[in-house]
Amino acid sequence: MKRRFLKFISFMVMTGIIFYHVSCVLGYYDNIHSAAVFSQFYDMPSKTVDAVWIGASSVQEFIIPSVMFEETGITLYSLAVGNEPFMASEFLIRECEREQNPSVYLVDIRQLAYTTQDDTYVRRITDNSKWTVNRMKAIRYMLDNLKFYHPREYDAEIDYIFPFTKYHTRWGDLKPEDFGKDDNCFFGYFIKLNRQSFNETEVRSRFDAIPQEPSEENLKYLNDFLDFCDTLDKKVIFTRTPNCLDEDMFAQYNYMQELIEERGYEVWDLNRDTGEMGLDYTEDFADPMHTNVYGAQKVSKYAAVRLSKELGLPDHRNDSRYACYGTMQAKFLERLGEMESASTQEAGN
Amino acid sequence: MTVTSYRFLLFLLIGAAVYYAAPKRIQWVILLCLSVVYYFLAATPYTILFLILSTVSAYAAGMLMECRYFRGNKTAARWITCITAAAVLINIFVWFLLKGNSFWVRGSSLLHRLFPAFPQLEPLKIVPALGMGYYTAQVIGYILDCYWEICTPQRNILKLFLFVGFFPQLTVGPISKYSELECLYQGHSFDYINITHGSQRILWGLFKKLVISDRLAVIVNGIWADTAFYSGFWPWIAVFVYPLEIYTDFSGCMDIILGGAELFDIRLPENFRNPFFSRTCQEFWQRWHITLGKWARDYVYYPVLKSSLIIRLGKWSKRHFSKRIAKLIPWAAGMWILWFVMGFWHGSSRHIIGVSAYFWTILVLSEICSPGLKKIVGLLKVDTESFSWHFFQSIRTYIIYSFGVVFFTRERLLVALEHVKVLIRTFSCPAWNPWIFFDGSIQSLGVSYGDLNVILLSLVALLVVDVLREKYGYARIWIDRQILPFRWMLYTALLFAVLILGMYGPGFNASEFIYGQF
Amino acid sequence: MTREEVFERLNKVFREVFDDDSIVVQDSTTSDDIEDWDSFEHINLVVAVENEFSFKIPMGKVVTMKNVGEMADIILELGK
Repeated sequence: MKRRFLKFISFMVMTGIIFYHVSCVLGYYDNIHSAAVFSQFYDMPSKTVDAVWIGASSVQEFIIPSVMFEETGITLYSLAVGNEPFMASEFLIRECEREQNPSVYLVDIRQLAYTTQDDTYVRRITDNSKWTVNRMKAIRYMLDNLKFYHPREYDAEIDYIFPFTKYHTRWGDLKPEDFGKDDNCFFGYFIKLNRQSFNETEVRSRFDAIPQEPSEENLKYLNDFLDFCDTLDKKVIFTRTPNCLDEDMFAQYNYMQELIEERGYEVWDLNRDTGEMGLDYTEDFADPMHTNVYGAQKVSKYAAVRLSKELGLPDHRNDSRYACYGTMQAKFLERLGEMESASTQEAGN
Repeated sequence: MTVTSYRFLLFLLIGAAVYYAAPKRIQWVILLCLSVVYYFLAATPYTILFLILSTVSAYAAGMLMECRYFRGNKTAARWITCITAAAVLINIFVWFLLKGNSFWVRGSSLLHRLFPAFPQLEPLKIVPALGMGYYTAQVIGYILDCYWEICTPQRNILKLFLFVGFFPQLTVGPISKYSELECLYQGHSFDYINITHGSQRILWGLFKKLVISDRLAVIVNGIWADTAFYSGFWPWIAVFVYPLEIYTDFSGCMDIILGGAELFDIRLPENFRNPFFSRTCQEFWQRWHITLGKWARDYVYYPVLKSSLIIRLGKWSKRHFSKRIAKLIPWAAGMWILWFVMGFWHGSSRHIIGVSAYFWTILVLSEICSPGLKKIVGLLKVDTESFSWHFFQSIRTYIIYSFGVVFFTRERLLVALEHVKVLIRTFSCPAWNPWIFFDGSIQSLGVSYGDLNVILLSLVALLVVDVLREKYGYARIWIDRQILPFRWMLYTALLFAVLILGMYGPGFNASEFIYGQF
Repeated sequence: MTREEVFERLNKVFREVFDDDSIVVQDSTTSDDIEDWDSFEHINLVVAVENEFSFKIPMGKVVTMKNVGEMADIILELGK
């Protein structure tokens, strides 16, 4: 009887281990490296990250943590993926509190002028996060919001809790990234080389757009989050990364900035600091919403200096415990070099 | 809650835990409660009244038969016959009312056209009970078994209700005899073997259904959905793949159900015995949906052949025809009634009766031609025990079955006839397209090369397991003899084949079982 | 009617039903022993036996009889 029990337990354990590894491989995949953003975050040595920047592609394609480290030695992580719903911010902060305990959170408000209609954006976060009670609560919270504001057929909740049910069909088209080999994600950032030119004066003229109230849904998310920040014993700074969007977008962000400042929180409108950054509107943008790698490096360096000066974040450049940042920077520069030479070759052909 | 859902598997797990934790005396009560709970979760709750009605009719009939008042004299015998007939007819009537829609609706509209005064009936808007065809047949079997004194009537109405509504059988059978399910009322101890064997069987059933059947369904349904585009050889592919689809669907479901019952140490009767290994059509129907065949044989065919009408027919045939034909006529008549009833049980629409007629014709023809064929085989000096001859016979049986079953799940005979036209069109030149087998155009149906490889490998695995079943009764008898690492490798491979390759999860519709509609 | 007589008449029935004059049935003969005796031929056999002995075998016995010996027992019982 005991022997059978032992056999049963060992079989279950063996199957469990295999299943764990299989479900790590057969997971979420997209072309903006969302899986790597989270896996690299969870792989960071404990309590090494001093600041976390949360947001959508407005952070992911602007902030290069290894460049910031090289500049002022601060250890920041860019926990941001494209179309990251703002309603996920609380969940992400809780994850950081458990994993890293940083002293500063930066939260970008770009996504608050858009609506999260697609549950893929929710899955980008929940499918890649660790299995915790926090995650279950986040799934419930975000699904409830989606169902309320955008009534539609969504997958059953169990399919969010066990993403394997959705991704097991990917066995036919696995990629190296599924096996943990993502060489194009640098602590959240991935390199973009394209350029689109904008008229700086024209863009600047939109900066003082008359404040306009955003949608009811987004206001709810903002207010819910501000209530959460009130309970948080950490510094929270809201940010607006540089962009060349339309005037009505600037209007909404201006409204939100006023609201946030009224609640007693700082807002860094980096649009107004592009001069100081040295950001070139004709060379450094990839599209109206995102900078390319050149613009991102400038934004990152500026932010690094500002964080170091104003918040006194420590300089870890000589500490061997933070060597991973140095390694990542080397990888980033190498990859950048490869991509640049590949693109000049292509341009030559 | 289909049997391939997470909920059902969880239900089985929790049910088994409660079952073995309970004292042996009340384990049958636990099964009863589980069956009721299952019914409320899986079906429209108020329809349980139909099951209760069936149980009450069977219980009353059984008790009245037992009653001393009716024993021992000739009028009593007649009363018992009346009670039996009444109980059986009530069940048939209720089933016919809810499931025989197309028959009496069409019948009434026909009568209405002939006699405008006759009202034109609308189909009843009442949802039929879950598995109505299955449990009704089971109840009728019980009533007749009591009448023929094959078993003693059950004195406890709740125990009888358990027999009628035992939850694994509720969706697609098998149709059990009362004597086969005596074990429902006995106490069972926890045995590791039951749990492991039951779970393995469930896993195998899930493999057949989720990995093989649902993949084949994509091909078959895709082709039939657009026969204008998928013409030429395409419908032939659909015709010859469909029997495999139904087989893996139905037998996979059976494996889940029988495995589930085995968890509770209840042995339900087998419904399949490698039907595609059959040498003849007659043998095929003894290996396919075995419990329905046995039920029809015991409760329809036997009484019909013993009836005075058929006996008189037999005597008349003997006077007017040769010995062989004289034997064939009553047999064919009995078969016709058997097939009509079986067809009717599947559905009262004309096309399904057409399917019955087709199979009946094949059986009669094969019986008539059998001596002639035996002579030819003898002349050609064919070794009938050779593998190749058996293979040829199996293929022949498979092809005959494929044609018969093309019309099986198509709703209207017209659509079915359209399919025949499409098949015949293949022989005309413009539709000649044999390159479809080689140019990868099957991928347009939504089936990748990877999927095709999966289908191929799974069918090989299915063949191996079925050959082992043919040889040993159960494949696990052979598996149990192998060393532990090999066995564990097999189980793990099977488990992950289902988890990874199964067609489940968001993006797939909860696959309904083809046979769940009866 | 003795048991031997019953078996003699049963031999005749079996030979006629299965078209084989070499059949000799005993107490232990079952459907496994005669090639054509399957569940569908069984009822033909029963009907032929009923004709031969001029009484009806109850349905319950038709289904439950396991070998020719039991069949003979039923015949002897009903013959009384």
